[in-house]
Amino acid sequence: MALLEVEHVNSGYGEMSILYDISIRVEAGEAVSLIGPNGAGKSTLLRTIFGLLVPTAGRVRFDHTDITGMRPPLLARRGLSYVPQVDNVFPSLTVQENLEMGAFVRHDDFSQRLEEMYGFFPNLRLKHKQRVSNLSGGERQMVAMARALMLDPQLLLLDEPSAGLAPRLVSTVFEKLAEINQSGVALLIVEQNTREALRLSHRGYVMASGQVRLEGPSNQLLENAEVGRLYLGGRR
Amino acid sequence: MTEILVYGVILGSIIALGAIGLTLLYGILRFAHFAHGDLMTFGAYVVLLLNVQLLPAWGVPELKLGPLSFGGRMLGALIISMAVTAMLALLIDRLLYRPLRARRSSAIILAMASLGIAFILRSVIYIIWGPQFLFYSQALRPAWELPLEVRLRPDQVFILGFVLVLVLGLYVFLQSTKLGKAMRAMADNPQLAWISGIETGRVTAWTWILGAALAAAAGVLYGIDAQLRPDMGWSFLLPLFAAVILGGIGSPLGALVGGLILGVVQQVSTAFLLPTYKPAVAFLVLILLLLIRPRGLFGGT
Repeated sequence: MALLEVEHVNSGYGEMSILYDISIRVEAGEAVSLIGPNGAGKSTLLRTIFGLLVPTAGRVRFDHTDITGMRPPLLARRGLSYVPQVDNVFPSLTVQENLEMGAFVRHDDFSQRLEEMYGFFPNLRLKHKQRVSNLSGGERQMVAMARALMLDPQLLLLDEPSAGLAPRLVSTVFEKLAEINQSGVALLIVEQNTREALRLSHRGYVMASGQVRLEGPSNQLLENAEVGRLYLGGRR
Repeated sequence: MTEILVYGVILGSIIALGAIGLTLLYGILRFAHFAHGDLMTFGAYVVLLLNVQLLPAWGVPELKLGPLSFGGRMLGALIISMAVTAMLALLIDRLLYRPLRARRSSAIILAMASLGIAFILRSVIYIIWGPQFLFYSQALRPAWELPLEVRLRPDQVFILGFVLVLVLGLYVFLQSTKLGKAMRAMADNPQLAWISGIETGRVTAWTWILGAALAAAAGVLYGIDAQLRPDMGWSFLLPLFAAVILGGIGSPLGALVGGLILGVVQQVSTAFLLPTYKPAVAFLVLILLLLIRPRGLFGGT
């Protein structure tokens, strides 16, 4: 049984349906990309997995448990974390306070985990007392990831981690994601930066109009002519 | 002139106590809590009930505290009043605001509901105690003659000291406790607080407790400094909001500074204008400052 299993999920906002009969899975330790055009429903799928939207049909299973519509404090304890695309930091809090909020559900001493995060993101150690509103876009993204990693999750959901970053920083973010994945954390990544995302991940799903259109190992999707024409910048 | 400044700081510190709670509530619940002034009134009358009516009848003695017009019994009543007012605010939240939030009512609906609560609280106080001015103590206390021709009553020194203790306590709470940090996090980004696993319902409840307790203290302190009237809190509502906006909505430090500025400006204006113009002067300052800094003194990015 896979770590995450989304089974025949329909979801959306109120009366507006966005997702139709979505089934995807993520194995333990695996990196999986969700690609597709704007409005395909990729972010909606992440929000549905994390319980911010309740599916109108179907089930979400995580680590042998039905988590459909489960509240975030419980999901966090079970080892699922989520980094939204925008507003993913607390700007008026310091870097360290942001990380502490990531560990809110822990009642024991988490200073060791804090040290590990600073070891992993050395820049954040240097700026741990600064307010996040004073940080650059790339540093904020590091804070957002570190916050989500504070509970040492089994699976990290990331919504467009490279959006709005300078090209130089995009590769830094993907390098960090590869390291996170190599440390054993499974990733489910929504990305517009399709080529980079597929290079990082083991498998990918191509979504369009609220449905999964294609699924396969990342190298196959990278070579697939149709995917290339639609999403990889039209290389002939 | 120095004396007027000191009186302004006293008035300002009372405004600040109310404004800090108001700004915390706005930061976390995103609606203008119009009943905040009447929570001040409620707190003040709870102390009147306890310290002037109930406790003396039950034979609880007042332990005189130096030159103050009141003593240990009054302090006890003040603490009880803060707790009772906090419980009232929690109860109102459970019965009214929380169901409205669950229905995703707009901020304007919540604000209007709180306006209704404001009217109810004030009317109940009118019914029980009537419209006349009431006092905690009729005892006359000689004022201290301080340097620079400042005459200050011991009670007023107590007011300043008590506000200082509350504000410092609040600062330590917000900066160094887990719950305080979660409150700031929620005011910053409620959605991310929820995503991070913060129990936002619990944080909301504690914000009510804190905001209402500070409002009650402000009401009691005003009652000590001046007198009790059923509309005392209502008349504080505009200065409270002005202090919140002046300091930057959602910023407790801003509310403190905004409250002090408003208190001083209002008090100083009485040297040149009729006291009736006090609120107008406060708003003139507010408008001028907002023209320069539209997000207030400590407004976020």
